[in-house]
Formats: sequence, structure tokens, C-alpha cells
Amino acid sequence: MKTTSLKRSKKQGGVARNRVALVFIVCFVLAATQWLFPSVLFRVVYVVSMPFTSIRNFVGGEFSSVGSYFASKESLTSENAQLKNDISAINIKLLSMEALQSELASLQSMVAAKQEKNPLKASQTVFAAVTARPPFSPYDTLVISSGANFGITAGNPVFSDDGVPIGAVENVFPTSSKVLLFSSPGTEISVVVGNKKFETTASGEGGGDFGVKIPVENAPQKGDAVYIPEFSPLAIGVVENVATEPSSAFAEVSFAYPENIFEMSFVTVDTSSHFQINLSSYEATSTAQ
Amino acid sequence: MKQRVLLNSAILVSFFVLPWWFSALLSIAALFLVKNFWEIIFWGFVLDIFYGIHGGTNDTFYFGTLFALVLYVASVPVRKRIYIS
Repeated sequence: MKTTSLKRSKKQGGVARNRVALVFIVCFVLAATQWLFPSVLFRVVYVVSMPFTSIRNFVGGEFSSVGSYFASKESLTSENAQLKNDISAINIKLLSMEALQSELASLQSMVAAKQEKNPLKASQTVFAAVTARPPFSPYDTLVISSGANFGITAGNPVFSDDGVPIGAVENVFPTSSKVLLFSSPGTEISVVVGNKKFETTASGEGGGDFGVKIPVENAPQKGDAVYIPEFSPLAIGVVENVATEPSSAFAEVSFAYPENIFEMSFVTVDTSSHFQINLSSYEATSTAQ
Repeated sequence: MKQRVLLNSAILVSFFVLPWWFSALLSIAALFLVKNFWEIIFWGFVLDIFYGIHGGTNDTFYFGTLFALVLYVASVPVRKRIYIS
């Protein structure tokens, strides 16, 4: 009996050692490949993802619209979603128009300066299809179908099809690129909040949401626009919630992109300018100025 | 073996078609349904490679790989104490 037990124990020890060795080898091979050929693994996964992305788009587009003919509830839901999208698109335009009215003089000088700087700006915009986006991506990143072959470089700002600034290109490959959204956890961006034009630093919280602390006397109203000074008058967000506590001098303000990033299908990339996103840490921090 | 192939295929499909947390849950389930499911580290790494930002001015770090590695190591003693038919 003792011999059998000893043999079994030795056998189990051997299996455990084999497992550790196997895991070590897997980790080593993956790390070495990524270190030696940084873009190869992504390009392989990107090629593998293409048929799945096509299936997802088909199921999410054609197939769901077929289902709505049979289920009235479904069709109402989709119609409701469509109307919400339309309202958000109108809101974006309204916010931009309000900003145009209040800052007409400064905008005219800014546009003139931009035109002087970039006379070919319109021709330097690249359209791209979104192949991966949240909630598929856990890091609030987009994978888009245009890359270095179309003149995209790291740092180019990315806009939604409605013109909302949403992020910047971080990694560029020949036929694809990765975009880091402003709302990615850990990012910090300078913003101007509300009608009082309070300048502060907002932090990304993931899922298209942002958080910022603002002194109570400068707290915005729900529905106020939020801008990044470099992209003004294009609003990047709309204030969704303002939480104040009697014991605190700061209001916790949360805002989100004016449109749903989970349904984003196309984006435009401005290849003529650059924008630097600061991904400082993964602790959501807010700094009020 | 059949179960292993099926689970890996399901994770592959869900990885590109469903939200990331669904693939994560499926991988965690596979840890307890399949013996020595080392593939979870591979899937964590693929998640980081495809969706993460690496090599530029910003880096999202290999959280998926790290999390998968921790789960794999933690699952070994847990698996010894439970029995799934």
C-alpha cells in the first residue's frame, strides 16, 4: 500500500511540475513574440476577427430588422432607440449652435487661423469603419479599418460621424489602427464645463463616461455642454448628473459623450493635426482647478 | 478533449461577437469544467493584444493576461476541493 501511495504521490508531483512548465512555456512564447514582433500578433488577430465582425454586423443589422417585423414590441424598441439617437444628434448640433452664437467673434478668428494653417483640411480627413468598440473592448478602445496606408499617424484626433471628438489614434498598422477614447479609464483631459466656462481636468471612467469635481459655486446644470479647448466649439459631452453634498465644497459632476459609443459604426480621422491623451494611471482621479 | 475544443471555440466566437465580460465568464467556467485549462492565459493575452494599447505614448498594460494567470493559479487548489460531473 505504501509503495502505491508513494508512486501516486510521485506521479502527482510530476503532473504538477509539467503544468507549471507548460504555463511557463506558454507565457514565455507569448511574451517573446510580442516583444520581438510587436505588431504581428495584433495583425494576426485582426485578420482572424474579420469574418466574426462581418457576422456580428450582419446579425446586429439585417437579422434584427427582420425580427422587428414579427414582434411589434421589438420594432417599437428599435424605433425608440432610433429616435433617441436622432435627439442626441440634434442636441449635439444645438450645443454647437449655442456655442457659435455666444462666441461668434472668437470663433471667426479661430476659423480664419485654422484655414490659414490648414487650407487642405477637408482633404485630410479619413473615414474608417469601426471593427471593434466597447463593450467588446474592456479598455474603451476602438479598432478601425484604416491605417498608415491612408496617411493615419499616431496622435491624430478621431471624431464620430456627427463630428464629436471621441479620442486619438494610438497604434497604427498598415490597414488598421487602434484608437484610445477620451473616456478610457485613467485618462485625464482638460475640459471647459458648462455655461460658466469652468476649466478643469476630467478623468475617463470607461463606457463613454467621465467624472470631474467642480467647486459648488461653479457647478454646471444638467444638460450643459463640455468642451475640450482644442476642439471648441465641438462639444465632447453633456452633463448628466451633478451631485452636491452640504459638507463638501465640491460637486461631483458626471458627463458622457452626446452619442452612444456602443453603436458607433464609422469615424473620421483628422490626419492633419495631433492630440496627446494623458493616460496617467488606472486610478480614477479628478483634479479641480 | 471534445469539451475542451467546444469551449475554446465558444470563447473564440464570443471574443469577437459578444461583450468582453461574456468571454471572461466563459473562460472562468472552462477553468472548472476542463482539466488544466491553460488556454485561459492565451485568451487573456489575445484580449490585451487586440483591444489594448501597447508600444505608443500610452499603455493599457496586460491586465487581461495578468488576471488570467492569477485565475489559473487560484483555480488549482479550488479545483481539488470541488467535483463537477
